[in-house]
Amino acid sequence: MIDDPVLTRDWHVVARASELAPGDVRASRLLGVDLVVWRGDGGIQVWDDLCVHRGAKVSGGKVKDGCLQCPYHGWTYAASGECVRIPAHPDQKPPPRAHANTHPVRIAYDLVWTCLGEPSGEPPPFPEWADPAYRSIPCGPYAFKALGPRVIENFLDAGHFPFVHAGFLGDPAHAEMDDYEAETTATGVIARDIPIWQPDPDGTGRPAKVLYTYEALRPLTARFTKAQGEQRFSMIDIVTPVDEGHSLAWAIMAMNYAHDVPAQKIVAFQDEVTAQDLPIVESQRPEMLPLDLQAELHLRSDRTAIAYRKWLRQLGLKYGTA
Amino acid sequence: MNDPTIAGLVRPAEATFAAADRDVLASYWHPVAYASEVAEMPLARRLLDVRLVVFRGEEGICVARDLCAHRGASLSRGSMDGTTLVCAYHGFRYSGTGACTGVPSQDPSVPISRKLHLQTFPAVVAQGLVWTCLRPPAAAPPPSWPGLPLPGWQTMEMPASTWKAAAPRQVENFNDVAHLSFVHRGSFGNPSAPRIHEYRVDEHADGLEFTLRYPQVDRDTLAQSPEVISDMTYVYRLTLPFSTLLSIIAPDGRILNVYDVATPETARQSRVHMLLSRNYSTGDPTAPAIEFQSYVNNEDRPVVEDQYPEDLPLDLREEVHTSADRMSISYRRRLAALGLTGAWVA
Repeated sequence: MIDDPVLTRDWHVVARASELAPGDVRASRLLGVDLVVWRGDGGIQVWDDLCVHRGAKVSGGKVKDGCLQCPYHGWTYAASGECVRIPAHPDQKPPPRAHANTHPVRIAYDLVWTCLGEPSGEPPPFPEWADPAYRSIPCGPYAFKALGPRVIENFLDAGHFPFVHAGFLGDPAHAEMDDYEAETTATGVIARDIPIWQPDPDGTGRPAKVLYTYEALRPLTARFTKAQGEQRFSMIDIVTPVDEGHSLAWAIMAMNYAHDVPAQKIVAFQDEVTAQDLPIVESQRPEMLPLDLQAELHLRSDRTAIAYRKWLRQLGLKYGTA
Repeated sequence: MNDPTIAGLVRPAEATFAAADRDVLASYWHPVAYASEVAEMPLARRLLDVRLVVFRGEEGICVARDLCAHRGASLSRGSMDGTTLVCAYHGFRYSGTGACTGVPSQDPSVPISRKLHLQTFPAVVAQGLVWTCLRPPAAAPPPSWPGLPLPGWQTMEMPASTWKAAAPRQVENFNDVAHLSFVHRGSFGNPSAPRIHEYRVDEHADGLEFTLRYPQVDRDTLAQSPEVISDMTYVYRLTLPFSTLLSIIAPDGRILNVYDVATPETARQSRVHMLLSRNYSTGDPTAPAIEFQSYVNNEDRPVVEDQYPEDLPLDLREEVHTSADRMSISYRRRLAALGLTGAWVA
């Protein structure tokens, strides 16, 4: 297990709730720990993916009568984690140690969240999800062979739009960025109303300047809202720290306009944008985000990144940082 | 007297065992190939992190370190000229005794340096397998199984298979009984008979033995109807560290012997040699029985490859045990008694 003092107490996404039908069993991985995520009668459970008997992965097993059965010797675990049946000895009461290592579960935004330690709060807010003016569209998860802080910093970065996302979110002929302010607060980072030139911000085909507001809500969760007149486009990016080399980015877009555009089309656009980011972020060296600001070069346009790095340093994040 | 350690035979980047554990295991015989495989080409093998070359010399099979003393090339890349191993790099020639018998680049009248000698290890053929010991003299002989083929029995060699698992995990699973009704439901496992009755494990100087009755779904091929349940007697004879003979005895006297040997290539990867021998249907084609046994092995392999921790926990407090696990408890104790710690490097 990656023993990061901050991330072990934070909530992380391990599955999409609507993709887990009753009786479904999935393997997941968080901070180097193999997990099983399954849905019985009593809802979704997240446990270490390990049968305490002979260390087999219970994610290869089946749900039977609301219990999870290990594929190896059929040890049967109730939703509470308690082993209730050892088929080789049906008359013997399973020993108290025969208990799955269970983790707390929250369902928010159709995502299954868990925490490997003592939770320090609740999953991050995304009020658009429950706002009837908005349509929420999930996308991802996107698998990065990169560590969370690099993925989040890229999400918070508008300076790469003209190059990585030319024709989509920017244009090399309009690469210059206006000045803006970024603030490190106790709960995160906020950079308000950054003017960004975009070739087609609202799908009408006309270029315009829009205002981006970026926020880091958690060490590995960030969001932005893009404003143009009354139109709002928000996106939250939730990065699961899978292990020392892998991340999984779950995202939700929310829009208060264009309700007639099919969701698949919007997701396809986002898939393409992420595919443009992926090779760049995976190529970044060092893989660990340098929190010492002397280690890389920073410009005025990097204020959000600087604030993010300062905040991570204040928090004492160890994972994915140097 | 044993060499103190074989650590010097291992390329540092390829060390997966703690040196002390490797040395304990290096004092035992392990099979590296079927004798039938050792033919016109030298074979590359790995045992306990050590790269080996296996070839057939004039006096029998030779097992040596896979390293030409001249410029460190892998001899397994070379070729055989009759019973002479020829290095692929500069054509140096080696006999089955390990002596260098030819250096093509120098005048034949110049004596060959005696340093140009393969580092060889003892090799014996038993049960059709080539066994070697990297740190002789061996602490124990190879398993004392009756020689194969048994007269009147039919013997089959299963293709050697690679398991991405520690050898003791493979062996413990082969000797495990409570998984049969779960993992092997697709072959011989009987889903209605998960209960394991008390059994006794007999301790022998060289290993462990136990007997169990199991109402198996009795079929020899995947195509065969699964409706017949036969009350089989399973006799397991384990020879430390990694060899097991399982005799499956039917009420009518049919016996199928399954010989299972896991060779620790590395701390995380094993080469499994398996032979089948039966006293019935001895004139039948062997392909269906081999196919059936492969199917059974492939039911086990993914479960074992996924077990965590990868090393068998020799400290019994690390996992939970039931009375069906008497064999695995005894096995773990005996491995610990050999001096193993299970503390691999990888």
